[in-house]
Amino acid sequence: MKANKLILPVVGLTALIMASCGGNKQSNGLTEGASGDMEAYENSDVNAMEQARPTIMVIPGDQTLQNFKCLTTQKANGRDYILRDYKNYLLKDDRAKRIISTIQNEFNAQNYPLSDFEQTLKQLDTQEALDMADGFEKDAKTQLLTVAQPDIILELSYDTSRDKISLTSHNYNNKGEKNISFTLNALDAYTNKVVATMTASNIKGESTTQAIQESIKDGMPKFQQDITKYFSDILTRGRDITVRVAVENGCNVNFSDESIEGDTYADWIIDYIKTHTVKGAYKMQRNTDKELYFVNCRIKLLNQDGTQYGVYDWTRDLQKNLRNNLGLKCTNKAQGLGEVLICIQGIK
Amino acid sequence: MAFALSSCGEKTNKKFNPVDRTGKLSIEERDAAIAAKKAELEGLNLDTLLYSHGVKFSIVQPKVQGEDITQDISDRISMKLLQMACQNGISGLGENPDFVFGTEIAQTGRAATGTAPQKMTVQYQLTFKVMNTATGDVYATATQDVVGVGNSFVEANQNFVKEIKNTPEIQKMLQTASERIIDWYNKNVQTVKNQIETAAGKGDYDLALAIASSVPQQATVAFQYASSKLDALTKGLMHKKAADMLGEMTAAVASAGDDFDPSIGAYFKLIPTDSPEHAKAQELYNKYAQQCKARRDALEAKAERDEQAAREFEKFKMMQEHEKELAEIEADKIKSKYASQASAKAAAAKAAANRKSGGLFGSIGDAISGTFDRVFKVADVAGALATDKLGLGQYVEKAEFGDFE
Repeated sequence: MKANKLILPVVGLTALIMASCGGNKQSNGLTEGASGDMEAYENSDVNAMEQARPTIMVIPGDQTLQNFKCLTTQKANGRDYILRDYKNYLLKDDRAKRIISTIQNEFNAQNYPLSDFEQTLKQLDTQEALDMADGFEKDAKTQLLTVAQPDIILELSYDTSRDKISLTSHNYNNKGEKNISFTLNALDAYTNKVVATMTASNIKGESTTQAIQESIKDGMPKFQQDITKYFSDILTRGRDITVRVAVENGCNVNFSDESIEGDTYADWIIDYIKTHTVKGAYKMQRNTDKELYFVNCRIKLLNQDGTQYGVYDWTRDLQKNLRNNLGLKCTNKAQGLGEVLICIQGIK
Repeated sequence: MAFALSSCGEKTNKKFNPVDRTGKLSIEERDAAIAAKKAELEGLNLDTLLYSHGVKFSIVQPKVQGEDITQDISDRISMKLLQMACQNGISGLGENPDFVFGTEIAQTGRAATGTAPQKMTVQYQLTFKVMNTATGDVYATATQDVVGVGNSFVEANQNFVKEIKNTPEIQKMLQTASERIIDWYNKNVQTVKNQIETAAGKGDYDLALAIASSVPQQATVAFQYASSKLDALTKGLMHKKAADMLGEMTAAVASAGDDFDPSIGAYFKLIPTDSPEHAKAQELYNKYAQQCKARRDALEAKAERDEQAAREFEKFKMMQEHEKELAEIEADKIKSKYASQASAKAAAAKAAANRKSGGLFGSIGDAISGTFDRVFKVADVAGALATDKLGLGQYVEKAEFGDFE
C-alpha cells in the first residue's frame, strides 16, 4: 500500500514533465533545451585530447571474479591457463551494476562519459553475429582484437569479510561486524602505468553497495584530479607509447645485421627513435636479433595543420624511412592510442 | 572542480586547418599504375599454377587427436586438402593407393588472453606431405603455422581450420611432387608392369587394378601399358565380385517390385556371362522383366480411361525405352565403386606392411579406408563439376555440406 502511494505521484510527475517537454510540436522534448555553436567550436583552438578521446571503462578485477567463482584455472600441456568469465560475473554479482553506475555517474558529472563494459560485451556479440550474416572475413588477429579495448582501464576489486566472534559469547545472533574493502585503479592500457588509485579497507556497514558507493563519492575528486594530471602530462610531454619492432617469420634480416648505411638495423632504429620522440624520451626494454622493444616513448599529438598525429602516423613515418633508407619492407600494425607495432618482412 | 579534459587543450594556439592529400600522378599515369598493380596481383593468382602437372592424389584424413582435433575437424581439414589437391589436378578421397597427400598436425602452443571478453588461441604446425605408400618415399613437403582464435579452446580449434590457407607454396609443392612422381613412373615402367602382372597372376585384382588406375597420364609409356590392362583387370575384378553383385541385384529386385530400377540392369550387365552367378542372375532378371511388362500392360490398359494412369504409363514406357542407357550409367557408378574399394584395400594392405614406419605413413591405410563413404560423394561432386560447370568453391562447399549425399 505504502509503495503504491509513492509510485502514483512519481508517475504523475513524470507524465507531467514529459507532456510539458513535448508540448511544442516543433521540437522534441529532450532536444529542446540543447544548444551549441559549431562555428565557434570549429574556430577554437585544436584540443588534441578531444580529437582522440581516450576510452575509459570500468572492468572487474581478478580477485572479484574469483570471489564470484568466475575465474578458473585450467591445466593443459603442463601449463596453467586462467579463464575469466565476465558475462557470468555480470549476471552473478547484483552489486556490480550499482557500483559501476556510481563511478560512471561521477565521471558523467564532470562531462566525461565512460564506456559501459556490459554494453560493450553485448555490442561485440551483436557485431560478431552481424559479421557472420554479412560474410565478412575475419583472420585470427581480427578475432583477437575484437574485444573491449579501453585506453584507460578502471579496474574495480572489492571484498567483504566479517569480524571473528568470540566462541564463548552467548549472543548467537551476532554474526560479527562486516568489513568492506575495495580498490579502484586507473591503468593506462598501453603502458600499464597506474594513473590513479582509490582504495579503502575495513569500511564498516551492512550494505556493501552503499558503503562502496559512499566511499567512491568521497574519493572521486582526488581520483579524477590524478587522471586530469595524467592528461595534462600527455599534453605537455606528448603521448606515452610503447614501440615494438619485430621481424616476421622467414625475414631475411636480423636487427644485429649490418644495414646498407653501415650501422646495424638496431642502431639505425634507436637513432630514429631518439630524434622522433618528444625531447628524445624513450627507454629500451628488449634488444634481441628478432625484436626491439621500447617503453615510455613520447610522441607529439598534432600535425602542423592541426590534424591529429597518433601511433599509426608515427609507425607510418618509421615504415617509410625504413623502406626509403634501408630498403626494408615492413607492415604497420599499430593499435589504439598507444601501441606501435611494426613488422619487418625483409629486403624485398 | 571541472574535469579538466576540455580545458587542457585550450592553450595550443593551433587552429584546425587540414590540407587535402593530393596525388602526384596524372590520369594516364594513374590508369597505367592501376593496370600494373592488377597484373601484379594476378601474377599471384593460384590459377596460374593449376593443371600444369596434375597427378591424382589420395587425400589422407588427419588423425583424430583427443578433444583438439575431433572427427569433425579432421573431416574439414580433409576437405581443405581436397581443395588444394584439386587445384593441382584431379583428386579424390581414397582414389589412389600409391600417391597420397596428407598433413601431420602438431600443436605448438595455446594461450589465453587477458582481454575482455577473453580469447583463447591455439597454434598448430601443419606439415604437408606427398608420399608414395608403396615405397615410403616423400616427394615433397611444406609447412604452415596456423593460429586459431575463439571464445573457448574448442572454438579456437574449430576456427583454426578456417586459417589453413591454400598458398602458392603448397601448390608449388604439389607441382614438384607431381613432376617427381611422373619421373618415377617414367623410370620404373618395368616395376609397374611387374607389380600389375604379379598381382593379377595371384588373382589379387584389387591391387592390380589399383596400381594400373593410379598411373598418371603424363607418364606416357607406363600409362599406355596400364590402360591396355584396365579392361581385363576390371573383368577379373567383376568375376571376383560376381557373388556380391548378385546379392545386390537380388536386393534391388526385391525392393523395386514392379517399379523400374536401372541398377538391376546394370548389375546384370556387370556379372560376367562365364561366371557361376550368371545363370541365377539371368533367371532373376527375366522374372523382374516379366513383372515390369505386366505393370506396363496394366498401365496401358488403364491409360485409355484414366488421365493420371496415362501419364504414368508414358513415363514408364520412356524409362523402359532408355533402359540400356540408364543401365550403362548405373554400371559405371558400380564399377567406380568397386575400383575405389580396390584402391583402398590395396592401400590398407600396403600401409599395414609398412606400419612400422609410423607417423603419417603408418596410419595411411586406416585413414584412406576410413574415408570410403565419402569417395562416392566426391565422385558425385566431380560429376556435378563436369556437368553443371560448378566453380571449385561451390564444389567444395557442396561437398562440405553434404549436398551430394
